[in-house]
Amino acid sequence: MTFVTLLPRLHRAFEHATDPREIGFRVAGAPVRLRIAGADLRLALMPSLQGLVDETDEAPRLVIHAWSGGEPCTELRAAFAEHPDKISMVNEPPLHLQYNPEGDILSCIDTARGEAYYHVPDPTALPDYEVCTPMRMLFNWHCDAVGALMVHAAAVGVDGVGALIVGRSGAGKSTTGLQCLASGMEYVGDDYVAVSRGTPPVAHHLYRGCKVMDDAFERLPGLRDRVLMRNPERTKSVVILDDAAGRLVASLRIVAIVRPRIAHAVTSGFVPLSPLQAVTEFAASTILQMPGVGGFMLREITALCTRVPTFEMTLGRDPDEIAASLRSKITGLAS
Amino acid sequence: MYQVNAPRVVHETLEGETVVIDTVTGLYYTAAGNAAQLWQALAEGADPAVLATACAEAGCDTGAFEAFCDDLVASGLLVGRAGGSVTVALPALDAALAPPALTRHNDLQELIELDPIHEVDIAQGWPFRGPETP
Repeated sequence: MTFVTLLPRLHRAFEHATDPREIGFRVAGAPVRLRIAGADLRLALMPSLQGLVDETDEAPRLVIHAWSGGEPCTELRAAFAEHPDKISMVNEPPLHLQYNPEGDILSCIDTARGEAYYHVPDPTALPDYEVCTPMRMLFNWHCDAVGALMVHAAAVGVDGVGALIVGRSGAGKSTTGLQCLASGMEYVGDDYVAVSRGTPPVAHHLYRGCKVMDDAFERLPGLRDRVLMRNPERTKSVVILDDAAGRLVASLRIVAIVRPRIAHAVTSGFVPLSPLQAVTEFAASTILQMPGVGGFMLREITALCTRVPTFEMTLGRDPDEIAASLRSKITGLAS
Repeated sequence: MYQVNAPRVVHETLEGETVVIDTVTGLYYTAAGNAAQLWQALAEGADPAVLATACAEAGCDTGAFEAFCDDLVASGLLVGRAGGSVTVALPALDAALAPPALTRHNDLQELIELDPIHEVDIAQGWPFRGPETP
């Protein structure tokens, strides 16, 4: 079997899936069609993808076929079963394939043909991160094909202008982003966003799902009602944001890249970073969570950090003050 | 002669600072000063003997340079390369700086431990992209 024979086979398997629906998306500014079969799969994936819905007559750049149940390719799963504890992947542009044994998730994309397949045997067994940020591998390569980068960052702003908040998990990225949302700022995303490669860079919304540590609910009690699933081992919950949660926006023009640092200071402050200081954690956390993107992603994130002012933000004690301080910084840079 | 252990290892040098990411171990490294310059020269294929001479002429410890190279190989960041050296601009080394070393960061290793990667060797068989069919 080859990629050439695999894609038609996956296509035929999808055509036998029951209850297919078509949904128009806009991902990184480009139209995408999602053909998704099965109520269970829609129930698992659509909450986080809801913000991408955009019914347009434009020809899609990508058609994703998603379905569950059955076994579209037994030889493939048998081959990858030899590595039960690892994500298996093949990257041979324009073809990319990934198999994640956690959830048995098979993802395959041909960016030249604009065709992608996503299959899971049991949507109720998907891991929490897949429900929070579904189809990451497919979106990553779609973003690359349409001139954008899918990066590990939050994006918040004011009046259409914003900042990327970058850094490793636990550094205050998500908390800062969600605090800004709670304070009335515009919000594009919390964990992953798509950033256009043009100048000025524009951050595009990808997911309504966000991962919230248990202790953050004390500061952001409004999120408790929006918990979709909880991971007790990691004391994290998947929260799905909706329009009532705050000002969710599709995109923001990016004027700063901010790396937060928990400092418990009286007031928050900003210290300029060299581009490479900003790149380090930003690129490492993106690349290590997105298998196969290493070379081009590091190059592109470095280029991005040379085009946009970069800062370390020492976080104050007061969450409202943190949001006000970032708002003020963004407003200052935008003017 | 050495080369970067690509695609496992990716790196970038900008304004005298270097970041190196090992996508298999989840470790990442940073460097500045002499270490960044020497890494860049080695990554471009410079002859280590030529670089050792440059170190000596700059008053730097050549033993420290050799230890630096050994550490890069032991860490899996560089691998041996057959063939001739590449002529690169010699680094402007400063003997007053600390011996060359990459600073190792392990705070993101958890990401790899959670999701280790098995990159399929397409030369070994399936899955691979076969010849295009009409």
